[in-house]
Amino acid sequence: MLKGEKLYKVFESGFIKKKKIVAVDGIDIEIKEGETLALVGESGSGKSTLGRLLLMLIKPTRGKIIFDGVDITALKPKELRKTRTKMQLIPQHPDEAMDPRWKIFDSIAEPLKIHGIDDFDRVYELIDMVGLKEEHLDRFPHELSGGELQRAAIARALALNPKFVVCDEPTSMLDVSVQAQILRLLIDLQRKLGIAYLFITHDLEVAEFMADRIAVMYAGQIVEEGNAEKVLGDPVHPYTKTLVESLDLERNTNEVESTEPRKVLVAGVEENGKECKYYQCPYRSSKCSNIEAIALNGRRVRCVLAE
Amino acid sequence: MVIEMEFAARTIRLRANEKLTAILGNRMCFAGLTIITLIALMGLLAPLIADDPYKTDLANRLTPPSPDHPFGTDQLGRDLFSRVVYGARVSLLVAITISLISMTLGCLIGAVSGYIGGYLDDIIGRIIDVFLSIPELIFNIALVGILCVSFGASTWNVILAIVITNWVSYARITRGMVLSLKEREFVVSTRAMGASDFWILFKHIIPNAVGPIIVLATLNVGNIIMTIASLGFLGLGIQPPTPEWGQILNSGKNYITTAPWIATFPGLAIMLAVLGFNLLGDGLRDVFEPKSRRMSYG
Amino acid sequence: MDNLLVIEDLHVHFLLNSGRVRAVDGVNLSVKKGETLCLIGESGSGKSVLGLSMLRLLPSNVYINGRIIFDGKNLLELGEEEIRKIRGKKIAWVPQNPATSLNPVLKVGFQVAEPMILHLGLDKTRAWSKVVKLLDFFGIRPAEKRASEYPHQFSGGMRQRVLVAMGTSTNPELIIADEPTKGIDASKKVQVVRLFRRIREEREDVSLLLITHDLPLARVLADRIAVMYCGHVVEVSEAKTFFEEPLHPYSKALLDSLPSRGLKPIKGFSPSMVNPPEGCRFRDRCDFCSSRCEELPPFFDAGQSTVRCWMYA
Repeated sequence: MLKGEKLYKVFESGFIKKKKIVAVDGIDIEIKEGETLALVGESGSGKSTLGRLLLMLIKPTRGKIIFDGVDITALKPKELRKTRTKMQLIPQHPDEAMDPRWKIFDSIAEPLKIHGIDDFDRVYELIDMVGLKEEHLDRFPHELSGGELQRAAIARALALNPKFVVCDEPTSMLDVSVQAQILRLLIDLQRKLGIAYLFITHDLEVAEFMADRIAVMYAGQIVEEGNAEKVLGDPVHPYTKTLVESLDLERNTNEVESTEPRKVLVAGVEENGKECKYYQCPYRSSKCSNIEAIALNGRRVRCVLAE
Repeated sequence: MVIEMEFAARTIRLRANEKLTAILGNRMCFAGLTIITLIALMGLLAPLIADDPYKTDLANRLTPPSPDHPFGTDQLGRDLFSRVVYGARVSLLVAITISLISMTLGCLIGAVSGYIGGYLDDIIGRIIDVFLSIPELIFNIALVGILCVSFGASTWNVILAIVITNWVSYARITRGMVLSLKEREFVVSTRAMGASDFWILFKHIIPNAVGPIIVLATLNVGNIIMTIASLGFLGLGIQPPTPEWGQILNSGKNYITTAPWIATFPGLAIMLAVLGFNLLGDGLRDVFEPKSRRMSYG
Repeated sequence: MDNLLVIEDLHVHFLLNSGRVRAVDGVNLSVKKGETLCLIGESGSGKSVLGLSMLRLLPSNVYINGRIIFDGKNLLELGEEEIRKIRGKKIAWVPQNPATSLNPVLKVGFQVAEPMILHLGLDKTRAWSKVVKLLDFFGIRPAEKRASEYPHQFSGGMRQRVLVAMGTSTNPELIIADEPTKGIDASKKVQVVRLFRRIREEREDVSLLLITHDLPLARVLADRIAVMYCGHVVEVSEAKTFFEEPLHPYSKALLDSLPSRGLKPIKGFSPSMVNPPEGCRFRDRCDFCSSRCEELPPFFDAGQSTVRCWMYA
């Protein structure tokens, strides 16, 4: 359904001395209808950027995105806007997701209005689906709690019956108990409506719960990708291994180590789709400067160790 | 279209009501508004409360305040009270005209520049910086001088000159607000819904940017009145016999010891007008300051 | 273990235009010497307010009633002069957001030295050498060089260490840390845990009050756990027993909502803090609710723990 091919996103700043940040470094990604692909990585790994890239909210520096057979990177603005009805975003900060001067009703109805759909009953249908009450509609964003706002954001994202929704860390700003509610809601809605999710998170446990497949991102590249349980249960790429191990707080803190924190390289400064960026890998060798994803038992790993 | 109107009306109506009560409730706003209204009324009702400001009466030059001439007469025997009262019309009208023109021009340029970004924004940004680095009054004097030499003295010269120096502050604020609003999550979300740039600009960015702009506009009127008066004081502004406070002040400077009222009353008028707008502007700033979000006492 | 600080019947209400928010509504809690107490609660439960009230750092539109006994005195009754001698010196506060809690225009070393200069009366040279030692202890190396740098040259994790260094510099008796893992990636939490363990290494008898809703963190660090819900403390237990057998229905539900335990949501919404319901505030969401719950339960003892629930009467 959705395919990203050789995607690059480079941010440049500065007038004379240009500073480059390569947020997305040569990524191939595919999401099938109705499935949930979890995109995990630490902050700065580029996962949010990739999510927005796939929605064409940011223009890729290079690469193609094919949605339902159509290359959306080549679309004219008007056509792109029409395509947007099928792909939506649930942002990370629920309290920022809606115009603070608009009532919730108006915010949820906005997508309908933009596309000329004259059906305000749909708003009531939507809040029913997400578990909000009518009284919430009449309020302003600053009068709702985080969980309620996130439900409203979900309602709004569903207004146009999208096929694909990018959930950008939807629960990282929410309390643990509210997180459970929202995640269950998302799963429920997926079952009912057959939506595909790109679920972006830094929390591996949540990723495992939500996802069929998982893609691990580091410094703008996908280092390992495959069935969620298998990848997290038996990681191949050294970085994935580190991530999985860090889950066990108990074990980690009891180990003897230096107090020097592990330096994490996030976005690189050179576009280099071929080189593995995990410089602190204990297994690093000269082969690592030119490595592509290798298929291994139903997953794709970008590491010499997979050979 | 009907849905459009209903929609917009609901949003705007509610907001307007809330804001009105907030504004009237704020003490500074109220004080400022009172002063401005009084001055405006004074100007409006000029024909009813004052005599002809142009009528000279050389027999009665430089007479001190009296029941006939509450503010005295000037060096040409004109009734000072009438000149000050009619001067309100001039000052307020010209100042508000300038403010409106520079606001429209500045906000449009700033908004477009900020929204489109890229090279256009870089260039316009630098232009704004250049304009801002020139001291305003000197720039105004120079401009008025040039225009007067080229086109002869007129009120339009003053308006044009001040607009040229004034639009930049609006552009800068608008651009700043647009730049920061552009990346806010609710704007990104709206784009994700398939909204056109037009929709985003007019439904989300401009309404949220309006607050600081209104504050700026209000304080700006006070500034402009001062500038007009300064130009008038230097003999460069609105020319006599049109009554203008700064210019009257200027004419009175030679008579400070003999007929102090000529300089005093217009001076007071300028002070009050600027005070009124400043109070209103400060009060509006309080009202429009973003409400602190839910308390982080979590 | 002795009690270091005892909170008795504390009420903290915020007087807002929209009503009176009863953030802390009758709390009794004690912090023992040398223990790590984790105060767990959701946003809006009142836990941060509780922490702030211990240092009298609340805004002026509050109503406070009750006693906070520390060092034999009631902190709420002390004058401004006296509370300032305690703040930063005997009770330290490590704030939530490392990004905004440091002064961007002052060198880091100076900021860490500040409490020492203020409270311990050290001169600049002595303070500076202590600062270097402290930074080194917390893993900011090379300490000498980094002490002369500015906050923007530090990463988020490093800034947090700086804040902790600031907090511990005066050898306080109690350190209150507000949500130390908020917004931190799962993989970086280890650093936070190590940081707090390091504090313990340095001073065995300092008491740590960790305000958080990060349960895995509490599990690794806490000696005792106190759970807050809607302005009330509902359970106080030893950490081990809490995670194996939580007593209060809310505690049970909270643990069940963790991803590692099945992500079971708690039904319903938290009640409003402006007009909280009568009786037990967890009533509407509790699976074990009965008619007794219309009356607010007192604390009952259950082994080493205390619970505010009729089931343990």
